[in-house]
Amino acid sequence: MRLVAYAALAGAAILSLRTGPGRPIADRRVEAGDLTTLLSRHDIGPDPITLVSDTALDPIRRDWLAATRAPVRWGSPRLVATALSAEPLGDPAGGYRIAVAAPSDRMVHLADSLGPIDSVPSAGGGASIDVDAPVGALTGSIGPQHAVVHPSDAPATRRVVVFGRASWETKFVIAALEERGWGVDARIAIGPEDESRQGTPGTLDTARVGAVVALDQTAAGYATQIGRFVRQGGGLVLSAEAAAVPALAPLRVGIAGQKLVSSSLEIDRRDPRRALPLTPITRLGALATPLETRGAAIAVAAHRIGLGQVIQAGYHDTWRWRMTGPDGSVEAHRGWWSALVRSVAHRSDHETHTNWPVLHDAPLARMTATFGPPETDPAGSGPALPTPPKRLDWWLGAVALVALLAEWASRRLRGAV
Amino acid sequence: MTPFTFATAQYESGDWDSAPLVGPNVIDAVARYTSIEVNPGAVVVPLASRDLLRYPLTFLTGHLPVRFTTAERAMLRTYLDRGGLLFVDDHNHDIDGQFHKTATEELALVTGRPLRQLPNDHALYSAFFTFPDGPPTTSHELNGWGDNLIHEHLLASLDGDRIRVLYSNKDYSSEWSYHPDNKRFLSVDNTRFGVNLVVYALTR
Repeated sequence: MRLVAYAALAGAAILSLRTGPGRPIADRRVEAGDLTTLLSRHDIGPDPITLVSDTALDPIRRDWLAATRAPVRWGSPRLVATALSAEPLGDPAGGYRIAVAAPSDRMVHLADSLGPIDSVPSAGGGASIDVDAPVGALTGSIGPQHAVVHPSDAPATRRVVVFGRASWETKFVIAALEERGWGVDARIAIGPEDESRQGTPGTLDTARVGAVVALDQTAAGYATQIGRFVRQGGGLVLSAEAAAVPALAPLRVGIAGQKLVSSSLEIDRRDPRRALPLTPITRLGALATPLETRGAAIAVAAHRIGLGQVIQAGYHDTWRWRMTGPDGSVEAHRGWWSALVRSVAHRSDHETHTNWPVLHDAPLARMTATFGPPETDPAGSGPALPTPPKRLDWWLGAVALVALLAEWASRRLRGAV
Repeated sequence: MTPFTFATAQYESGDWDSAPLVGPNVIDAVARYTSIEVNPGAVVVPLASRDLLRYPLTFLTGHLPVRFTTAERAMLRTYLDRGGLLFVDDHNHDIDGQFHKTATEELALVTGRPLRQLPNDHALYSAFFTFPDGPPTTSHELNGWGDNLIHEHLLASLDGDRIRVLYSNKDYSSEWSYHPDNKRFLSVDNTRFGVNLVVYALTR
């Protein structure tokens, strides 16, 4: 019996030496559709797997395949790289900005749990779609490739404080923001010693206030407080008139240029701000970013100061857009002002945290991270995949165990000590 | 920034131009008490014209029956929906008068509901000067003309708390229709409520 046990152990050792690292063995070549069948086999071992698939695997099969610890070679000439993100707009009216990375000139289809939402052609490496209220998971599809995300809960918006003198501009900026759902506090100058307060403007604090809108020199007396607020992470919207106030100069994005007056006062639906007087923003700082132009003139630009952001808009009398523009101007004016504010408004990172697992937002990247880069012809020639060290075959172990037990039993039955 | 311009509405029916000095007098008061940029000249704007939208506060008065045309109703509805404020004053100060009956009917048609009493603690009465008892009484309310009543409240159409249409039987059209130079003969400037109206319109 002892000889049999020794023989079994020797056999296992020999087998182990024969299947050492680097020895090429026949790959298991599998199409994506047959992968589940392969993975379901109880005797699936760690031998290399060659996966031919036009798409990245869904998270469950990807993780299942990875759990086998088998070396995987994968890919296809038709793979499409894509990624999907859904970021809350930060607007009280809700909404998300969906960004889809995709090769140019491909059609991107977006859907939520209720069905299709929109289709747009990708350009410049992707597409961006604003969605009001998606339900459940969002799926972006380019051909057979899908990417899925669960939008995180939108963070609560903080209040907005408006500084301006009694004017139509001040009135209608406040109205636009309130109608959009922002909570607005205001300091409105009426006379040298008189101001009208709306709400409780109080101290500017990022715990309560998301952004400040400075419309004119009314904000000058609060410049120090506004500067501190911005450096602590608050947002600031500077109008053309406010940007020209010396006390606010350290915060402005650029220098106010020569005021331009449009030849037409008619508000055009396609380009409504063209009819508004504009003070171009010139001499932008090194870190400033132009966001909107009228010809060569910069109309809107932004930069960072400390932890906060400042956006400067060169337009005057935007209230005319709302009052005298074509149908839909009230909503357009409201949306534009809300977008300015939300683009700079303070938000804490933890407020945009999602409780949903993010599993399939960038399927190709996650496949690559798991199995290495894809190949256009994974089944073709290439370096052999290393074979992992083989475990002792179970039956050799069983033979050795039985032999040793038999020897022990034999000795006991014979009365040996 | 566009300065405030006092605008009087011109409508097809009635005598829209019965109080031509109200505009200059209110302009004088606004310039006298506030730092609001104000256009020294008042304007007249046809109620059916898109130009109405350039003046978010408009004054309308008269003695005679008021019947808006279809175009006037449509433009006024657009004006109010976009945030304009229409101040209407009954130059007859007579709740049985033709102006009151017809104008309130027309305004109810435009706004979709009858005018209601504006509470006397509304923000309008403290927008600049404080009027604790609501709308200031005019000398014309008890002069034997009209209904000979002191009207304790103004009427209004509200959007939430914001006034869209303000309606008065107080006859501010007569009370304020004098040359601003003559204010020096008054112990208390009776156009101060006009300042509240302008400040309210520009801030709410």
